[in-house]
Amino acid sequence: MLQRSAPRSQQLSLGRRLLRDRVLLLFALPGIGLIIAFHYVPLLGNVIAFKDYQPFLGIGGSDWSGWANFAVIFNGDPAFLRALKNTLILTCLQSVFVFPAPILLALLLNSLFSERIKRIAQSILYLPHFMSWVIVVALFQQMLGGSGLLNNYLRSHDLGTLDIIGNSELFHVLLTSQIIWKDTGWATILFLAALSQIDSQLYEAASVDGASRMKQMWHVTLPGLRGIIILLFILRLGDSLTVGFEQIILQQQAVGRDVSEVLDTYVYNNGVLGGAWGVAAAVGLVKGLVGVALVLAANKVAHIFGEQGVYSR
Amino acid sequence: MPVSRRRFLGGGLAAAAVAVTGTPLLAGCASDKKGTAAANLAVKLPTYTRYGEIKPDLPGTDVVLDGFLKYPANPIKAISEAPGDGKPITFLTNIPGAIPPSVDKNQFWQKLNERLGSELQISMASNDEYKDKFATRIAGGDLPDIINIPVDTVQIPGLVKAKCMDLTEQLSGDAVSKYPFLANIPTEYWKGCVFNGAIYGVPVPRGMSRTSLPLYRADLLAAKGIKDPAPKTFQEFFDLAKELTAAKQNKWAWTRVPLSTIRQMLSIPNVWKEDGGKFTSMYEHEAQLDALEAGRKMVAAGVVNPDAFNDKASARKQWFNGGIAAFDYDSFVAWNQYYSDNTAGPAFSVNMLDVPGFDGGAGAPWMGAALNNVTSFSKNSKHSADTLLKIANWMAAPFGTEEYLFRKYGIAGRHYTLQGTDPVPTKVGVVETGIGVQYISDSALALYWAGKPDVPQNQHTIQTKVAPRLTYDASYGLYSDTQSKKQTQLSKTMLDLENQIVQGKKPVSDWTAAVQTWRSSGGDTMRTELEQAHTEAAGK
Repeated sequence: MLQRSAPRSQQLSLGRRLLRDRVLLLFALPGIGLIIAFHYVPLLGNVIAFKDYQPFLGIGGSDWSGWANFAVIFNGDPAFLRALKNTLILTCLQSVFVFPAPILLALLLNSLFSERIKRIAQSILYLPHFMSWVIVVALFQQMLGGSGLLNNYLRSHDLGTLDIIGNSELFHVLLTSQIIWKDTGWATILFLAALSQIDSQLYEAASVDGASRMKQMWHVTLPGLRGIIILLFILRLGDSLTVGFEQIILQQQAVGRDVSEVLDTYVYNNGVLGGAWGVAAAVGLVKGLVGVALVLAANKVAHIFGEQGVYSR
Repeated sequence: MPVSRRRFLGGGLAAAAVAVTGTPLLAGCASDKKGTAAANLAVKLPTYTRYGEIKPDLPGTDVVLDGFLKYPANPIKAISEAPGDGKPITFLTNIPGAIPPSVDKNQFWQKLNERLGSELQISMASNDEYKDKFATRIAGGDLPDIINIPVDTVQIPGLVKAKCMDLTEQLSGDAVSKYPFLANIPTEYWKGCVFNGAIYGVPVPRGMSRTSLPLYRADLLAAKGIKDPAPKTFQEFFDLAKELTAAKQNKWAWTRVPLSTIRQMLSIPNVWKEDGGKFTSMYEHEAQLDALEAGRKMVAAGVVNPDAFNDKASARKQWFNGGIAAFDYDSFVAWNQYYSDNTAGPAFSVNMLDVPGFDGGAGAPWMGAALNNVTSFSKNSKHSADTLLKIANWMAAPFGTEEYLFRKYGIAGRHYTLQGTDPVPTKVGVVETGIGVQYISDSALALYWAGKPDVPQNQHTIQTKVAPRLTYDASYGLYSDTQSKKQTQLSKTMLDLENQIVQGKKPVSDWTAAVQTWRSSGGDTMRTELEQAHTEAAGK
């Protein structure tokens, strides 16, 4: 699926190409309309980052305020820096632990011989993805909370209890674990699809040459996966500053904002709840720009290493 | 826990109570902040005329609420003509309970529409989601005829000026007598509806009913041989909690850290305290460190549910109802709510503790926030102010009237069964009547519980006991622009720290530094603004 695309189309004029592809374009039209109406038009609302926006006056009626809303970013407002710091910590944790998890799991699943067991395992692993965060958070609290299953068991057997949920020191680890538990299974789908694309003759050839299973993985499997890994990594970078909103808001109170405020919750707490819409929009806008910059940069790097990346050239 | 959110709403309300953004006369003048407090004070508030038709069994005072042991026989039908104008009326509100069935499946709602003479179209959101919904509806410019404005909404003066009807002409002074049940709402509550030198809404009064103290499960305590507990010091209070804790059976005395109660034991102010024109915030009080230390001690001793910091109100209510906890810090409204949610059977019994002094003597409980919300009418409404006020008047018919009986309990047979004269709600009744109309307007709460005369009796007793010692938020009725804009964020920061301190994650000494930060990032400005408003008000 990731072979280099066919040579660029044979220098037809734009009109001819449109004419040739008219049916396909017609099919795409509703989708394009939807994206324009619900993605691009709302983007214009970002203009409130430059206004002293009051919802009751509307966008047009609010006064312009220039760059004043960006002051929290440029002057390093402590609350903003705190949100930035937590976001970056979570971004790193997620890149290092969450991103590779489905790759490992996919390799593991792929190595199962019994098709039946594989199917059952897959179904079970996909399940948590369909639970909302409210359920996942509640589930974790019921199992690991101070009066949850684990601690009740420990208490009734006179063992020491474990302070896991609501412990500010473990919060980042807890968030990361919850994401891994919820989404790793689902994320294996793409990798499993890519694995099935690898030509089995390559494995045969490798084993004829005496390659062990480890060597086969290193020399056949992983190179076969490289394209999709890089593609997904670049896409992930684009929203790497999006480290989870609902999941965090639901657990923010217990651990305090010192460890739990991230850029997205900052925007919500200041904008929707605090009424500082302009500042919130400014922070959101900067976050979006950083995301775009990261994608462009990563794509560039991918090209340098001869990969296709998200888009070519 | 500490200062509850609601209590802060009180502060927010105070913030909103007096407007700054300029009366028409002063519009455009940058220095109009001075004098607006005076302009608001110049508004002639609606004349209070008590509706005297119904005599309570346990008479109240200015502070203590009226109590009733039975619902009066043959309730008076107080309003003869339907208030509506025949056209549909839209209303945006939060609802505290479960989402009720929609109007086509809800006989209470259908009957209500019929009685109002206008179809009431209600757009509702749960308490947790209401702030989001409200903000989005305002931003979208999509306002209903009747709007429930939470008192901690940022910049209410600007909002109502841009979007809502000025009701001064219809309500000021004796004009309110056209709406006798709105006139039956005491003057104090109307203070919270004045902005920009005009009356912009109708109050949904709370005050005493929202005063919070330690609630306890009298049945659980009795099972341990404890009758009428009355701890005289913090130590006794603490010992009582220890006695009700059995961690191995997964039972903890408290649903949350009773930090507010501890603060009241130490006579820490109710939000703001005024003395000789000088304002001090509760945060700055010297006893705060002792309060935090005591709260920390309770957490360390394991008398508080270990999940107290994770969970929302719903979990807290479940623990208390389910007997996992014996104590909860909450209000008289919650007391009633516990009876209506009761799952523990007929033995279930709730009562309330008085607050002792920390080392003996008497504590200083805090008066609850005056308003639940302000109800305003959209400027763009196709209905006349008169029609909407008539609807609000209908919703404020007091306890004892036939309108009240229908509004709170529904239709006999379907929504309640009569026991003597008492309407005992059925399951259907609880679900179908919960459509949030109490937030259009409401009469002051009456102490009453259908079929359980001991409930209002106990409530009346404790109210009478604490009434003389109540402390009030000195900022109520004074406007501070900074408070309106920053209070939510600043108080959240202090709450975060408080939670971390009592959990033992941060040292108590961190509090002092946080108070300094609080002062420099808005606290001191609020103080100056409040003091100035206070001086202006006093000088008038």
